[in-house]
Amino acid sequence: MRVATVDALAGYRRLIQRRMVAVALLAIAILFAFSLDLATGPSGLTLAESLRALISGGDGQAALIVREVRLPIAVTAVLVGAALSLAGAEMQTVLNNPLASPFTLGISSAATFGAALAFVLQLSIPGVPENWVVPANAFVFALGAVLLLQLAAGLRGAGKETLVLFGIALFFTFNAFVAILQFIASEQALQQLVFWTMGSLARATWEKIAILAVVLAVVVPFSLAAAWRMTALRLGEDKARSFGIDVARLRFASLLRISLLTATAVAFVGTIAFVGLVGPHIARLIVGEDHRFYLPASLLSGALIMSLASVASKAIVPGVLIPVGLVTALIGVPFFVILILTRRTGE
Amino acid sequence: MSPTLQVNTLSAGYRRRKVIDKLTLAPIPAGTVTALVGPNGAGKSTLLRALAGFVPAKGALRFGDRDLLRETAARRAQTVGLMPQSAFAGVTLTVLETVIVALKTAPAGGPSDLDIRQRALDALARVGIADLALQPVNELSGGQRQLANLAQTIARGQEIILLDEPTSALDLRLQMVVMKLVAEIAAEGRMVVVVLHDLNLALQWADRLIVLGSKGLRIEGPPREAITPELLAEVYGVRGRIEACSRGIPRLLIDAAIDEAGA
Repeated sequence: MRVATVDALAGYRRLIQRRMVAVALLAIAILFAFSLDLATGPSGLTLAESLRALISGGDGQAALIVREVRLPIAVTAVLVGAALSLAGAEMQTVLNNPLASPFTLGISSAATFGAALAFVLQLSIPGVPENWVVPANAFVFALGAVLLLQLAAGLRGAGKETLVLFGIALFFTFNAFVAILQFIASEQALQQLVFWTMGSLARATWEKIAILAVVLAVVVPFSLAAAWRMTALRLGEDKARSFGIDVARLRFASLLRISLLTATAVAFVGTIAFVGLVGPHIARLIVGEDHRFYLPASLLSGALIMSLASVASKAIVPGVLIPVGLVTALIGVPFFVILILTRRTGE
Repeated sequence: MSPTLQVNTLSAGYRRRKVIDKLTLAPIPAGTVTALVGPNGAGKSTLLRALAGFVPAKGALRFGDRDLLRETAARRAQTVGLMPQSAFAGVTLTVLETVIVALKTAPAGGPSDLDIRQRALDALARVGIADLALQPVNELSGGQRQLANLAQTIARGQEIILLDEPTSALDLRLQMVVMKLVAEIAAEGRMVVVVLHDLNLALQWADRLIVLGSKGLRIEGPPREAITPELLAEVYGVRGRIEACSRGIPRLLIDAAIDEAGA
């Protein structure tokens, strides 16, 4: 028994070390993807030229392209991917459903509806500056959708299946609302809206990056601080309660974080499919369900996927920036199908 | 004197159905094993969950001079640990990790990581599954999972341990292993309240018996006095006998279900 005990402790230590290495490797992979992103674009600047232009500064054309186009896109890709994937990871845990994500449960659709209200009917929250109307609307509706989900989660007897169905209902309801608005929209508004729903990094600005970064900087520490409690919740609600965890409060705080992350990301770049679903699954495959590693790994996986998607969106058709939302869906769908086909029953 | 658990006019249940209605029990002493028995639907699990604070309850629930109903979930969980019936569905954490989580989320914070790992392993060793420490918990058999569940519950060392059918998924040997462990925990001075379906296990291992029937508490007391043919007929609807085996230990034998005509 003693020997087994010593072995187990050493084994656990190795497990932890492996996970740390995996998280570090993910971070390094992001650096590569980020560099690739900086080196890709219609202007044909190489990575070396881009970096040189960035470091030397000045107002040359190369410096301008890198500073105002490539760098904001590359940074936004990483931040948005991180935010959506972390949101998806938390959501899969608090809803105890591996298929939950901001997209599949209708939160992105709600955000789209908010944006559509601004594009088509010019409806907005009073006092919001004009160039922030769309993000503000998207944010408010995404938050509202999360609160609705929270309400459903609190309903007595609402099992996993009920929640998924509720999320799907939200998804279709908001999509229907959006379709109605599209139907009555002017040509110009329709164009804006359609482009918005495709999700594009071309909307990246340093202002938006700053806000995204602040949201992440505020949310991530709370998220990580809840890591042990979230792991406990993974064991089941009863288990978490038996440890003295206030499950309702934990879930509400998490849904609040989810709505902040999702709403901000979607508000700035539009609908980005599947990152919030796929990122957490990749993380789970790599580091398992200990949320001390699962949450950071999800964040990093999402950032990596988005960064690669950003590269792809520029590289698939040279000279054309394909909306990144289309690319993530193309990458995400095959993964999603494989996931469903290989998911063990009874889980 | 170690504190007792006092249940007075306790009501608990769900929005539409009050399962426990003004239940009053004799004080439950520390250092004992109390078996909670009764037919399906009598409210055994609900009572256990009410004691742990999982379902809302009214009335009085005191441990020594502490009013448990007024305490926060976190505070109560420092004293009361409940093992739910099923656990770990679809969880890919290792067995060791599931116990570490239990210790890490203890409200008191507590010892260093190294201590926690050792304590978690000790708990696994105690239920005899230290060799499974690094196995993903969803790959265990039903019985092993139950043992992991038990290890997780006893690891925090709470004074009141509530076990909901800990022997239900176990083979004959593991049933004995678990009940012996239950007796040991009680011998340490902790209080164990355990829901059992097997009355023979209750006869063999419990110090006290609480029998819940369809109309609430039917009887409580030492198992050998509480279980009678009349009780079996009334509460369970079966015809049964209690007979001493060749070694003089009372054994329960069930002959038949009593049909509605009462034959």
